Amino acid sequence: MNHLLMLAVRSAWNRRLTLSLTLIAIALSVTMLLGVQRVRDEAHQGFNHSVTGTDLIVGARTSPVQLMLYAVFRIGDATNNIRWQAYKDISASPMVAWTIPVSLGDSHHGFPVLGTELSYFEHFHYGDGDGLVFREGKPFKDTFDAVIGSDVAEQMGYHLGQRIVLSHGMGTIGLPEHSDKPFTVVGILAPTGTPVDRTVHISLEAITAIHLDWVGGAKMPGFFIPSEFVHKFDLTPKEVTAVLVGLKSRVAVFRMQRNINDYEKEPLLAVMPGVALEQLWQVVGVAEKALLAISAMVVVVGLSGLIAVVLAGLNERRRELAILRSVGARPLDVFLLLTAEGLFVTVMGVVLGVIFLTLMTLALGPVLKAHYGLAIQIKWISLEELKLLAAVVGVGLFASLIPGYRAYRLSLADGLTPRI
Amino acid sequence: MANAIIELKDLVFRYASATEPCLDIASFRAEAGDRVFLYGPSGSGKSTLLGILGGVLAPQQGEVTILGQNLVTMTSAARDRFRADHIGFLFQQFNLIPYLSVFDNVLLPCRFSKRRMQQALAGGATLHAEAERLLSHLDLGPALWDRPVTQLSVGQQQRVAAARALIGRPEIVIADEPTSALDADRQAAFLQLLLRECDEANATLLFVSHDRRLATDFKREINLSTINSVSHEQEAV
Repeated sequence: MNHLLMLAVRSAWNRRLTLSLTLIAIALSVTMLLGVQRVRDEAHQGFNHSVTGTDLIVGARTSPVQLMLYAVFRIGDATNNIRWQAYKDISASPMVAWTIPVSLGDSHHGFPVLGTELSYFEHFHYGDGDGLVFREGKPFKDTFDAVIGSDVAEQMGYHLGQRIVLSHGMGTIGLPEHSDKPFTVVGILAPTGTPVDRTVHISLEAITAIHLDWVGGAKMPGFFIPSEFVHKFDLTPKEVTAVLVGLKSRVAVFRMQRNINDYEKEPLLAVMPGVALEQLWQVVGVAEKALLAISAMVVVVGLSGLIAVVLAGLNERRRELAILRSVGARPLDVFLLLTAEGLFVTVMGVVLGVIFLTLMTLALGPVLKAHYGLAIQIKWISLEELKLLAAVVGVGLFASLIPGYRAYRLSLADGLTPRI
Repeated sequence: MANAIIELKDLVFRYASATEPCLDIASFRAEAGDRVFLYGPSGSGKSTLLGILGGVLAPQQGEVTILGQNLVTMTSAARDRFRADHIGFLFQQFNLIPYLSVFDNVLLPCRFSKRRMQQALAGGATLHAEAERLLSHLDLGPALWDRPVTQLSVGQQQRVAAARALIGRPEIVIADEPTSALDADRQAAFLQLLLRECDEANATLLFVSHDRRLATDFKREINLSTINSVSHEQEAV
């Protein structure tokens, strides 16, 4: 058995030029398969870890997934806001332990700006129930104070005391700026691996203040209120985008949800984060499965190439097989030899694919994190990935039986004297 | 009468795809230490006979007794092992596995046969030493040992193949036109080397060729067309 394996490896090495191309094809297909799986895992984990301890998310009536996406992940825009009175009513409910108002719509160099209250720093939790920690500084106190997430600080190179200008709307270029009312960074949060890292936090009053002299998304010409005079106005917000709600007892969650959904003064929607995420995965699941299926297909294409190359080379190896027969190889040995050769290349392809993925993670990881907030880390192969890799090797083994069987037939027919 | 090493009796072989038998040999016998020149023009059933002696083909009728064992009653796997243990083969050309070194080619039978390995170890301190001894005897100096086999000349390749056929002292060496790719001078030299080594290894040599000029060095010459009562134009399918 050992000598057959040795022969298979040497034979593959001898034809390394032809085999290396299919080897690379297999390796790349494995990289793709594993990459899709890993991005998917990381996305799931990232989303699931982004908010914990929040029982309900409340917003204007829309789809639960959309509410979840914009309120927690800052993806997409709110279709509508909810009135301040509604927020007050929810907060006043005896079932409610705490509330975090969220007001979105502005940005800073592509980072979303979130208006909230101090309850945010106390009650917002993520991961396995971790709270927010200040790496430097403290929560906002004055109207024009800002607290930034760790990614904002790192990518923009901001320190405490930095003066920053917010832009009206989401995006990176061509946005009108709130340049007349700059903010000061007073706090920098420790990294969380959630959208918080990419967020600029300011108070709800500040959101009102910077929009005092704005009407309908544009600055009113000839109307200007300097920063120092904003306190002469009532800065109580008129609207917020969404509210994160924590209940005193989780048992009450369905009752509270029904109460909010039946709120009479305006149409509201309350969703449980877990349920909304589950719906999201159902929607995204179709695309994920399609991607995974395509990757699997690419692996099959790669393996087909391997089989084609091994089969094509078989005819000119009939003499070699006859020699092996003459020194005592059984037809079964010939079968094993060719199968082992295909299997060997497949296993090499899988190993190379994992190496490629690691290199790509090293090279592209920071880009993915910066642009999509996806934290792909280099890590050991998970059980799920191991199953995928085992499946690739399994299919490779199965496919390698084809040249193995062909060689078996040939060597039976040729015996010691191949007719070439 | 000396011991029969190879004995064929009432042998009939027909390929599965053919209607007529292509081999019908009433009797053939080779004895220990024999040097048999088997003259086989093309179409005489030469390849088929080699296949039967090697245990790759099984006749429909008759007896094939080699070293006292009847090959016909063995399973195909047992015949494969028997071939590995007792017979060294030498072919026309392209005798070597291109991706193995000279030594790995020579030692190939020892990988498939424990018996050949043990006998090779009895001849030399290590397998490598025994391979070296055989190669040197066959006029292949150390300078050639580390070359890729594809860079050896045809004559050198045939001598490596002869070393492979002889390693582990098989009782029988079957050579199928081993000299036909060599020029006349080298043919004679190679033949002398082969005969000498077979003598030394005490092996029975069955030398198959269509070139009768080589027969002068052999004690016995047998014309396959004469002993095969099926007359042929086509050899096999």
